[in-house]
Amino acid sequence: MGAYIPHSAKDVEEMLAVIGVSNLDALYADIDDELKCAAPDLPPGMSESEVRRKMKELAAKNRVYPTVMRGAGAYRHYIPEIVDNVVSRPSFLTAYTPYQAEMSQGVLQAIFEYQTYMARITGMEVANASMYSGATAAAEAVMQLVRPGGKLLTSDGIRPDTMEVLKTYLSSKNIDIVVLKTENGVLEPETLQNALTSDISAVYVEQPAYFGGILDLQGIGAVVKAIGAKYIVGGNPLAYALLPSPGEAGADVAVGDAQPFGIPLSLGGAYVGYYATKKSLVRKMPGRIVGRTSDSTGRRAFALTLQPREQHIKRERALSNICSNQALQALRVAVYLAATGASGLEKVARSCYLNAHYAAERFERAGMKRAYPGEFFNEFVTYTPGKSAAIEEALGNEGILSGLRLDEDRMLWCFTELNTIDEIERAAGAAEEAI
Amino acid sequence: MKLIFEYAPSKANDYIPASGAEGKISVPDFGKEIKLELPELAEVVVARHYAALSRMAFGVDDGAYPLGSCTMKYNPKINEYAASLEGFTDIHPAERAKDLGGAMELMYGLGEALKEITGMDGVTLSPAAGAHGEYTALRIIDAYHRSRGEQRKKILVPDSAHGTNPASAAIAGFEVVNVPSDSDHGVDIEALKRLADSDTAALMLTNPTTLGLFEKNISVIANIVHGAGGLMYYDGANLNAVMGVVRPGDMGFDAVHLNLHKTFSAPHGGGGPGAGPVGVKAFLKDFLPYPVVGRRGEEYVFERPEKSIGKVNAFYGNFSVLIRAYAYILSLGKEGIPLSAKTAVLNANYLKALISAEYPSAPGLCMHEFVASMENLKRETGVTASDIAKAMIDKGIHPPTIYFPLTVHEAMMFEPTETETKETLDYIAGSLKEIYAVALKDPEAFKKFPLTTPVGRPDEVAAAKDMRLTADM
Repeated sequence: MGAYIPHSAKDVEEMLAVIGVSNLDALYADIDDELKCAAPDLPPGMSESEVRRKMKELAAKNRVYPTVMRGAGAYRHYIPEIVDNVVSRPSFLTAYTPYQAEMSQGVLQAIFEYQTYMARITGMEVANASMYSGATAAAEAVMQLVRPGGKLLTSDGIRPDTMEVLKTYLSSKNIDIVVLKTENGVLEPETLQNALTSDISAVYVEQPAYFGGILDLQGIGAVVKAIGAKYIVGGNPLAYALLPSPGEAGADVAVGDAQPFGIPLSLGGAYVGYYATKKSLVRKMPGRIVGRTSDSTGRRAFALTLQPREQHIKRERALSNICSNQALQALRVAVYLAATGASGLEKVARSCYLNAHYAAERFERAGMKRAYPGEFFNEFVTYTPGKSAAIEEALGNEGILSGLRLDEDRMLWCFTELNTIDEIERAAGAAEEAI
Repeated sequence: MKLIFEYAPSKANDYIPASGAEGKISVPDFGKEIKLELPELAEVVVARHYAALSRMAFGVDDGAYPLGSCTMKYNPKINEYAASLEGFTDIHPAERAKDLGGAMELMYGLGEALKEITGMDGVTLSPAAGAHGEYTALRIIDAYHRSRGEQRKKILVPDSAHGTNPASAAIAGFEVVNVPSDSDHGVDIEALKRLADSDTAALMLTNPTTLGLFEKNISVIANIVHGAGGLMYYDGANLNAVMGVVRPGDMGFDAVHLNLHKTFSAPHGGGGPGAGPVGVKAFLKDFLPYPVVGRRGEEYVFERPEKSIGKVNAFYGNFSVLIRAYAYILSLGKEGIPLSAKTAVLNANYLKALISAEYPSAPGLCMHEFVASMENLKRETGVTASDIAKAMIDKGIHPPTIYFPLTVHEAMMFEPTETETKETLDYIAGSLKEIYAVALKDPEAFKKFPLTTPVGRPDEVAAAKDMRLTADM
């Protein structure tokens, strides 16, 4: 169909005449004819109404569960309508990276505010404009803080996705990963103390652990500091509305996914990774950074700053190769936090905690015991020998996306402010029958 | 303009009810000592704040955006509609494959289309951006060499390449060897012959190059690199010039990344999210990161290739961007893809022809973009590429990319894209000619530009020195 091409045949003719060639194909005189291809083997272009129908059909082939009790790195929360409203403003949506500061003050200030929000929530001094995801942010943090040939220590309690991405990235940097085994995913300061040797350059933990358990971030921090290693804390930033933040625990870098703040599930992307650190480590922080300054008349102005760290200036000596990031998703996060405020965010976190604990008690009465003891935030694991598939199926029939099957015996559940008592009762009832 | 942190406190809206478990469960004290300091604001304050900020931003919908190398084409609205469908936004990445039929069909279909357009045999949709795609492809190339018992340490990168190329190579653990350009701004063939050796893992090349010129010697280059046992890597940043006309696979490339937020019309969002799928020839398919979407009969399946390099991102990449790109490919189809490329080249050549007297660039035809050098103007008047860019802002035009590529002095890189009308191109050319005339007559005037923006040129030196990166408490 050649959609979105605005020229009439007459326009094209006039333009070709100005250029001095006779037809469009003549513009490719520099390319050998034998290299050129036939038109791609694709269906003919569709009209907009046909595209709409096709995309609706595809969307309808996916199952949207009215009730979701699954998290594991992707969380369904309430998204205030204003979030979608703001990010669909064309001046935000269709803008490029704000290189031309004077005409991009709106984007720059929004990023600056996002940086501030993430710094405050993580308890760190500075944050960057965003990373691809929590997993790549963790990998970047380790690459910044551990020299090639060095060692990173972590535990089996981190998200499998993070672990896999760390393995991929660190293998090319010749950084070894030492993985401590834990009972329940919660790394204890004593366990760490016994394992920590002087050749460990950095420690990476996630709060809460993949199985939902809460770590003693401060206790771990004290152990890490004692040997002078760097302390990198990943995690769900919503938890920091209730729990001590990475900054309170003495972290050097805080990373993670800010998806819980206003980003829909959308099959796992696009989400947004956050990266926050101390001022003393800012020159080791990858990615774009917006700074506050002024123009020649003293008016407050914002601009991309510390660019000599970046690939377009330093090329192979750059801190990172990151260029495009997840700016529009960072804007979602900022709008979400602006709308909810501290009180709203605390209410969301509190509701997650309450609903998850209510569900854990109710599930226990239904015969689904928790697999591991210990305090948790809004995710926990149940143990029902041989019954995982049956429970998933039974809840599915009720329109409930159950906890994630870890294996045939264990399931990882997640509850948010969107889960009602009634949903929890229905889930428990259905599970009880399935067991 | 206030910061969001500077408004008087008001009452935030209630977005959720109190939990039904209130009173039944108590929340313990977790020892959090530093309370969250986030402002409490009524929704109307938030709405007006962002409305005001959006008026101080400039997108493709606001005006012409001939930003070279960035392919700022129009972002069709139907793609936004598609991405907003509940069947896409409200699906959990850990749902069972049988619940995700439509999403998997979409990802598979997009992968097949990208393979066809690039002449590749396998594809991953995981990378979140172009640079992420570069990194992914280089790890695949490394894994391939290692599987043959070789450890090749060098990546050849032309001096005109995007900064991400050498940066990605370094992050992937390679040593970067710069390849000089010849006098036509192409790869210096003699230098390449000297540099390509048994330690060469790959050559990274953008074609058309960052000068907006098609690398005429591409077949010779591919033969030299392949002859040394290295692979050919295609930076897809400039695919918009040639999609449906010539395929990277046919030019001799073994791996390619695409920028769905450039060539395939996903909006840039002020710096992302993008998507940087990587396509590879058959002999590299086994090394792709997992998961890839495959098809067995009528079923779509998530697969882990046999010698996979592992995961490069959580879940499946930037799915919401993939939806937009797929909708775009459906709209354009068989004829629209090459016609878009040809029109992008038409628009670039038309603009180039209109302004070549004042804004000189390489003689002859260009591809989808061209690079003017303002070196002479600067010498004669002191007016720089940056000054002209600032003057363009006052004309309501987003300036071109400036000071890139590094091989051209006072570079201005224009990429109008295929979606600009002739009227707009005429307006850009007319504005540039006016600006040029002012430069000759009154170079001092440029010190004040831009005049129409909420702020003047920010003091970047102070920004870097003061490092005020967050709002004061």
